[in-house]
Amino acid sequence: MADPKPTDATGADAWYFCLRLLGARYAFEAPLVTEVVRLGPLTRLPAAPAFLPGVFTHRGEVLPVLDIGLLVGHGAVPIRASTRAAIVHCGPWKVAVVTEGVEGLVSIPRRAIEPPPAESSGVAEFLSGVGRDRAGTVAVLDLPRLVETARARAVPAGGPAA
Amino acid sequence: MTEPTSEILLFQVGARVFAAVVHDAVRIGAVRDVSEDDLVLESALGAPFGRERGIVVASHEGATERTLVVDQVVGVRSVPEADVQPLPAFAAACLVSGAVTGLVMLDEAPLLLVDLPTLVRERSLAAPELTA
Amino acid sequence: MRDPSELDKPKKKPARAARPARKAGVPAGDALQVEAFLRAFAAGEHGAARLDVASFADPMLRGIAEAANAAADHAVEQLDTSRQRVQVVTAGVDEAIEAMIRLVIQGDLSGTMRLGVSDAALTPLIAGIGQVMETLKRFVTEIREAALQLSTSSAEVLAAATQNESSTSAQASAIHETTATMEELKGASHQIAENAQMVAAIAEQTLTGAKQGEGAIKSFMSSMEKVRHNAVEVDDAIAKLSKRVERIGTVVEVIDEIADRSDLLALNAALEGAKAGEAGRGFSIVAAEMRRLAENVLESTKEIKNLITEIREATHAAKEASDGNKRMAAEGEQLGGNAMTSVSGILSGIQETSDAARVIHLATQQQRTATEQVVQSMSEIEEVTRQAQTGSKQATGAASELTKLAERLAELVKRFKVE
Repeated sequence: MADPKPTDATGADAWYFCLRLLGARYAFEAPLVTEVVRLGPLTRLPAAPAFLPGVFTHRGEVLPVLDIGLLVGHGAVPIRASTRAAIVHCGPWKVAVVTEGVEGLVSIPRRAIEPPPAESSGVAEFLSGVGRDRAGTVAVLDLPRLVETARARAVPAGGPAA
Repeated sequence: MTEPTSEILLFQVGARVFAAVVHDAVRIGAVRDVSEDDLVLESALGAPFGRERGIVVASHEGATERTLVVDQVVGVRSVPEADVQPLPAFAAACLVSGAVTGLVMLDEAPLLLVDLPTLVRERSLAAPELTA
Repeated sequence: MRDPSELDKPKKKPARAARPARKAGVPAGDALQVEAFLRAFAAGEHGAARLDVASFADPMLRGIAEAANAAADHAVEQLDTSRQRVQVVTAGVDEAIEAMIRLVIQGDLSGTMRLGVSDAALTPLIAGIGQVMETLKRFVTEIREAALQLSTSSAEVLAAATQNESSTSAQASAIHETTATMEELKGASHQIAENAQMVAAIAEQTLTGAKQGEGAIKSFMSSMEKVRHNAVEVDDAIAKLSKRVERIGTVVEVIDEIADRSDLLALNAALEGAKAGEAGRGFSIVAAEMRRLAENVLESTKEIKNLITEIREATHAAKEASDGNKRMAAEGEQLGGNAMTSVSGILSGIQETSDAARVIHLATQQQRTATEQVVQSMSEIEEVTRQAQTGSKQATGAASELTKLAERLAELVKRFKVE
């Protein structure tokens, strides 16, 4: 797996990790991604939120699975033997984002990224912008915010009961 | 055997087998000898099919004992410590219940590691709401 | 035959014709004279002059001549007498013939023959003729009577024959009609017989089918009976089984209890051994062993309990099935009963129909036979009648002929006057 390039703040092209989700192309900042893995058998957690279908083990490590589709009310991302997940680090959180397909690293010039649409529901609330590359439109996700929001929704009262 | 191990109690609630550290279980008893008030029939793990076995769990303070009703006590296993892992942070952060604390890699199939006192206490906390 | 006109002439001496009698007087000439005279007389010249005897010189010749004259006279006399007699007889015969002719032509048999002449020589003749006439009269009378009888009889016969003819004709036509009717009847009865046969056959078939149906229903009902009985038996068996199962269950419960407690003990022992860590490892091993034993027992009891559960479920299902069967059997019996009633009804109906059809069939058979017999008899009668008809026609014809003949005879006979 390629090391993520440091972001260039001077407005040059930035690297994004692009994946297919909800039938469209989504991307987030490439440094967030550590690995793309095949999703293993999930262990369901009792009383877990819908967007957390379970955990799975990858090379001895237990990883939580994040289903953005279920998070935004779009519907579960179908999980098959071929399903790929992208392991991301968002602050303290390490999650495996389940995808409909992984495109990989893409380069999108910052100035090509436009503000997201005004709708605040669904996945739009987590978009930081909409970009275009050679392949077409790419919705840029603010993944840290998404993950944090997800966690906040799961345990509204705050941290887990100790 | 030099590898550090953990002693794990395996028990079945409903269709699923869970794991707990042996120290959390005071003893294993028959349910019929226990008064109804002390029974924990439903928990974050779900509800058992029957009332075959009870795992007597002491509260954190140790003052009270409650019996978690399970379908089966599978047995006691000695697993390498490396095979006992905590829940990932995000998962733990997303769970309301603190009962599941980790996973035990047993025969390649991960089992949920349950904190029995927390499990029982959560149940008793929730009980007033249920009976209301 | 003598000329009758000559008969009426009165007897008279024939005029003597003066003749030169003298010949050159020789006595030979006298002989010759006599000879000539006799010859002439013999030749029939009876009126020839007699010999002048006085002229005869010769006394012998004179005598001969006298004799000749006498002979001639005598002969002539005789002749005349005969002639007269013949005339009389002839007249009588003629009269008889006339009478006969009258008789024949006019048929007049009424009178006796009256002859104007009576002559002894005629008597036999007249008597004979009279006999003939009598006989003839008798014949005619007989014939007339016979003709009358015949006429009457033939009239009667004709009348009878005519009547017979008309009656035989009527009879023949009546018979013909009857025969025709009988033929129709035969045909109709044939059809009826056929139809009846068909009906009978159909009835037979239906009867067979209904009997089969009856048989099927009966067997169905007996099956239902069996099912019901079986169901009761099954119930009993189930009850017994349930009791046994309960007893086993009780025993198993006890064993289970013991095994359970053993298992508990073993578990706790294992738990303590685990808690004790290294120190408790041996203990854990023993406890594990105990656990295994207890688990085996528990496994067995679990299996038995599962089995008991299965048996309970099975018996429950069997009971339900049996109940269902009983219900079904009861329903089936009722349905069967209904069906039986219907079938019985059908059967009796069919039986009746069949019997009726058979009766009809037999009757029509009989009728057919009878009809055929009648037809046969009729045709025989017809034949006889035809013959009678022919006969009576012939009879009529004959009678008619007879009558005609009788009439003709009567006519013929009528001509004869008998009275």
